[in-house]
Amino acid sequence: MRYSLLVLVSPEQSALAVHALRFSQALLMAEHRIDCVFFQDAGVLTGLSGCEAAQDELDLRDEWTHFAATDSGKLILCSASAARYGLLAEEGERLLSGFTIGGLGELVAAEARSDRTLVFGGRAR
Amino acid sequence: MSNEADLAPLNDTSGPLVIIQGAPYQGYRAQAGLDAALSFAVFGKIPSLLFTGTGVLCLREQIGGSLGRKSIRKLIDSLPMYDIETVYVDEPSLHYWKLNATHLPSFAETVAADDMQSMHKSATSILSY
Repeated sequence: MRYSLLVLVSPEQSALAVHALRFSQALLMAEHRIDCVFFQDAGVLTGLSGCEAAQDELDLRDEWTHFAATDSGKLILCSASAARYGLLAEEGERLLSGFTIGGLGELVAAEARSDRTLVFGGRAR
Repeated sequence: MSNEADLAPLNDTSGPLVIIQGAPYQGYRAQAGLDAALSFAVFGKIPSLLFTGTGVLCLREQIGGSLGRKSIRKLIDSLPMYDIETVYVDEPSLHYWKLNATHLPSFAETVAADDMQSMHKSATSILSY
């Protein structure tokens, strides 16, 4: 089955950011395909370079970077959100490897191509 | 209030159900959801847009200008230009926040809890903001 993920929270904001990564890894282990992981709103901070986790804590950005190096789907940071959070100021210097900037059209296309689209960080009722 | 017949067109749309649950100026989550809904509409996949929880506050006239923010309500008022002809509003949330039809855009339609369940079931995918 082909999946796409929408991540709306930053690594520092919520455990849901961890769940998004773990779910993505589990999908590949179960031989599903990931079309795209689209990061929007504060989720774009996942692709921000220069952030360091404490030595005894999970470095989510580092794990996403390694994940991108595998045969995973694209990791796309929403361009509008990236601009709002300052990731475009010095593009290339502020982005982690494996992440690219894309418009919301990428999310639209990914949703159309995917059997399932899951949101991590959507507000619970 | 809607009945099932009123909601039938939702089954025909190819766009996702976009749910706005965040207050209008609490971060940029509501704005992000509306941006996504507009993008789907621009690409011809007309979404169903549902406001629930504190998200219903996006629908009343706001003080965005004085906060230095764009008015979410003005953005919502522009949705029919993008072929989003109806927005759906969770009726219990509307009552909770003591809002009524006079606070809403003319193209807003309230939905009861049962109808919301139908919307969830019939949606091809759900994007929750």
